[in-house]
Amino acid sequence: MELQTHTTPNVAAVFKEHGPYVWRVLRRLGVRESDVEDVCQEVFVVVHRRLADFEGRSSLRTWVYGICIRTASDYRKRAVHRREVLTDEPPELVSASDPHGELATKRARATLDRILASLDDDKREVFVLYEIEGLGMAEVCEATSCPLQTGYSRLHAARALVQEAAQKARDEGSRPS
Amino acid sequence: MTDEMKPPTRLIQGAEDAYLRELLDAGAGELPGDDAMQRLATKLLPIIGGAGGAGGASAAGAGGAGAGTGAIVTGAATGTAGKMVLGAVVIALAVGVAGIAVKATSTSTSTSTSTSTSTSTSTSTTTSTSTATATTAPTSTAALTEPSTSPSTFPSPPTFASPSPSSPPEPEIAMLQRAQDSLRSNPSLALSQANDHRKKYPDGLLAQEREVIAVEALEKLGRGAEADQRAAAFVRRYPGSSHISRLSTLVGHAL
Repeated sequence: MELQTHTTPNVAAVFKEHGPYVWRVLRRLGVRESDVEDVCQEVFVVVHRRLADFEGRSSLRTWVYGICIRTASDYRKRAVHRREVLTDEPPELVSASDPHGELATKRARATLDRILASLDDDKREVFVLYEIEGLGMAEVCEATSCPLQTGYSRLHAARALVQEAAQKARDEGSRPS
Repeated sequence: MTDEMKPPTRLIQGAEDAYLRELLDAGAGELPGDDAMQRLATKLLPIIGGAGGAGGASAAGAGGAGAGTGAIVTGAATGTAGKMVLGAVVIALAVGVAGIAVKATSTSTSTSTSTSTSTSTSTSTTTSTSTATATTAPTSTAALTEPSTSPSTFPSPPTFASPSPSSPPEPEIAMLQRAQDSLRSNPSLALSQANDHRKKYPDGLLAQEREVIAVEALEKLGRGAEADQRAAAFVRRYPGSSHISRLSTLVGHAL
């Protein structure tokens, strides 16, 4: 009898467990809201296609994030090719009729995405996986296929850039118009 | 380990920059709602199936009475080379495709002898609605931030009362389903259908699966040289594809 070293899950299980996070990471990696369903779909087609090759060397989560990284990268390249600007429609100004702060959240998200878009891809990917998705650095480096030291360098550089950009955005936001 | 190599406190947990934390919170809190996950589950039904494949039946509900039940064999459960039939997509499924409801029952079995068998019976109906169940069970959250919308409530059984006619992969899947179904009884037709797919979706999401069907059809037709050529072209185009082992088996030599 052949020993099973790991059990490969089926695509449905992967979708169920990771679907929402696939969605979120794609958004932070520059996939527009209007495109995110289609790009999610691409991710799971790839998952389906390659799941049999998953050997369990990394966690399934890391493996799925790696697919997201590559799929989002392809998406951004396609958008560049089509000369599209990858930003969502800016949300309306926050108003008193927004008691739950949804518009404020949307604006914060739009600001974050603008900042993330100013990073180069390598830094953005490491930053998003570590700071937003909560992966450990070893997982981040596995998903982005970079050595650990490189991953740390990218993270430190990205953090500095993001902090500077956030400071600037806050100053601009608080400036009286 | 140098300080440079120590994981820093995540900014989202740090107290030094409340504004940046607010931005990151907003980004981390954007999870799809149930409706979005349902739409996605519907689009992915041919892949995630109504039964979720081997080992997942308990988590993924079987189709209800009169409902379409999709089954995809990923081959993952067997660990054999032969699992990659239609790239492991044994499209024995019932899915509303672009407004067309197909009612079918299917069973798919992978064996440990590098073969996958699938029986599928499909009966087209003129009914415009079909239902199928997908997955529902909650599972772990791996991310730093708990989702604001619990994934435990999706994907609930997707319905096809108003399928989107613009869902791009569905027509692809429908075309390949026909080609796959034709392979056994009429490889010539299967090849023709695969070629039709190539014309319509040269770079489609399921382009690799199409090529596997085409190579298999060519082999069945005794057109080994053409099968070789097409398989070689596949390897050039998709050098890292997991289908290469399947193609090697089909053409009878390593690619």
